Amino acid sequence: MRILVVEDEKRIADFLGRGLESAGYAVDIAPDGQTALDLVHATDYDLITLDMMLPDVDGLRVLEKIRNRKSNPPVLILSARGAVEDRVKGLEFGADDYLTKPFAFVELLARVRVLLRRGQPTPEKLIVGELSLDCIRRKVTRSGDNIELAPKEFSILEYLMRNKGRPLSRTMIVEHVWDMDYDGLTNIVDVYIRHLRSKIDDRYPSKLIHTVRGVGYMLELPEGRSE
Amino acid sequence: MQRSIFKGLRFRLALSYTLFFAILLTGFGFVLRGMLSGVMETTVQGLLDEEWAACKGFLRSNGKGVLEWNYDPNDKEETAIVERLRLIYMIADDKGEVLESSELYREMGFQSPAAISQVLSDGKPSYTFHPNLRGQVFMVRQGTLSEHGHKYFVGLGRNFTPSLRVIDEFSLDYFLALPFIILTAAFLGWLLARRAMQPVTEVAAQVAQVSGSNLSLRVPIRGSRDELDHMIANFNGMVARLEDSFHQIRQFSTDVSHELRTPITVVRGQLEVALMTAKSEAELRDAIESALIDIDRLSQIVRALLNLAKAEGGQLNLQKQDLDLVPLIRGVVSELEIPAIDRQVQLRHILPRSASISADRIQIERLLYNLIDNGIKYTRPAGYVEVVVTIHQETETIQLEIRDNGNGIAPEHLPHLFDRFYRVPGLENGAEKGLGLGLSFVSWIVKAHNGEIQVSSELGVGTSFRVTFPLITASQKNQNDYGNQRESTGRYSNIGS
Repeated sequence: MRILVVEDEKRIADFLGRGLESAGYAVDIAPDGQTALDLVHATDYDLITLDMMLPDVDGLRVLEKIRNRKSNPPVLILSARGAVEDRVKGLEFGADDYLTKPFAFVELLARVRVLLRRGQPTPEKLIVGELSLDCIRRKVTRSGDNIELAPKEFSILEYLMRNKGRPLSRTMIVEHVWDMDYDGLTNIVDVYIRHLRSKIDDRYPSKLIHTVRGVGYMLELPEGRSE
Repeated sequence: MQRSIFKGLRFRLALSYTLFFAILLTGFGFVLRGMLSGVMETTVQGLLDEEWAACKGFLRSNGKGVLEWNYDPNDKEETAIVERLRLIYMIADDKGEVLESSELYREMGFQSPAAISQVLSDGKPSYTFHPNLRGQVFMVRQGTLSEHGHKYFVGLGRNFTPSLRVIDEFSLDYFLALPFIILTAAFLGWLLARRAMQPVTEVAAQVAQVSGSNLSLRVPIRGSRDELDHMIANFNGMVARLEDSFHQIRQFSTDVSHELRTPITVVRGQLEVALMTAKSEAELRDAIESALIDIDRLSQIVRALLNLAKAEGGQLNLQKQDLDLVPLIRGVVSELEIPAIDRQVQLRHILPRSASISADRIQIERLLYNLIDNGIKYTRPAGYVEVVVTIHQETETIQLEIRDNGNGIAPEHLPHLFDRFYRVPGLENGAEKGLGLGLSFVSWIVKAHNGEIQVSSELGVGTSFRVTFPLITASQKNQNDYGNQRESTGRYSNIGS
């Protein structure tokens, strides 16, 4: 997996590069828009993180040019501008996600992981161990038992199962399930996760929903077991 | 706000209108009444005068000194006239003794001898009113008739009651109708007041819609060029000024949050990544040291912002004194010599023998540092920065010019150069990135010293900042010396930018 980091502030680019590399990605750094476009021409990237304020070209122009190319890697905007209209503008120009500076690196990492698995075909039925979720009929079973879930609980579970093995931050879950910026209200996620656990995990010996410290939650088979 | 109908302008307008109208109409009624009785009296007086003239023709003194009515009893017309004249009359001699009188005159009583002799001595006729017992009022003309050395008092009367009745009837009708007229006037006044207040009410409704979030709203001018239009124009001006400051504040907070976000991101990211990836203590130490540099930068930004806010909020006391720019410039230039040599930039100055202005030394030093340092930073190696001071006696100003032959600034950036956080894009690279606050501070310092600052620049040729300060004249010099002794305890703050 190859990631292009477009960032003019050298020290931000530095720690992004180091952090992403340590997470197992190959990283190239472009300090300005022109270099970024040259690199995009030369290499097929799996993901691009894009700063909006670049010394030469406006970030949105860079985004536009990347979008006009055949290969279309997901773009994650990293911007110091956090106003709603800035986010909307970025997403309208074709960005896949938007993160406001300052951000937690683990949050960035979680988003990168989710973005990277996007585009793969999604099955109608998601299965993790003995837990299965039917996206069409909206039915959930574990070990053959029917489990009744509220719509939001279902959406959270679906999101967790689609990103099996990847930690998801509370903000990501809020943005995904509630379709909005739920800043400051992220403990609503904890409430829903508690409900989900009582329905999915509590009666079974192996637990599937895990808390990831500093990030959020992740759905995964317990250690030592395979799918 | 709840408005009471009795406190509103409309009510007050209508009320004062009604009061004014009521007073006016009442007064007018009395004047009219007075005029009417005047006319009546004059008419009756005229009639009495005519009768008097006739009397004089008929009254004759006979040989024995006795007054007699002298007429032809066979002439019907004459007889009728004399009988008409003798209907209400009396004649008295100069002692007040009544010689002749009619029945009707007796009913209202005779004049006293004193009054009679008064009339006789005056010689002029007078008119008085006399009521009789039946409630009738008569007007009596008291006149003097001289006949053969004898003076006689002649009183001629005429019934004035019908005239009085006309006056009373008129007054009654008028004052009975008055309340209705006033009520109508009050009603009309109320309607008129609404008409007059209508535009005010409309404007008030439009003004009520202006709030912090839609300061771009303007109340439309009605085009009548009246006081209200004047008020609306002033109000719109006020909103425009408010909008301006609102915009500035909003822009400022956006800028500040943006300025602070980047260093915080760096600190947070570096530490986080170091925690995740560092394999040795040295790597952790590097991350912490780098984070400290950014925290320094953060506090620098905060301090500069605070100082700028203080200065612009008027909380910074300037300690103005007579200041000779020449030694000050020499000092700053020599201090900046080392960084200039570092960048292979030549520092030059062209200075007069002395150039005094009234200024705060610390602030002027700061201004010089900022402008000269900028010049050094943005000039290519082998370039120069030049400080030139010229005195213009004719305009009583001192011009301080700092020019370089550096990269120059593109014209589109020049108008924003003194804006807070404005940095010419692409001019600075990472490590030397300024805060974008220096020039806004410089511009504040110039303003605080009643000066002006101008910048001109050409890409590839160089940039020139020209600051103009008022020159101190000899008379001001003495005043300033005195002022400084008193203000020497004033406080000032240091400003880093």
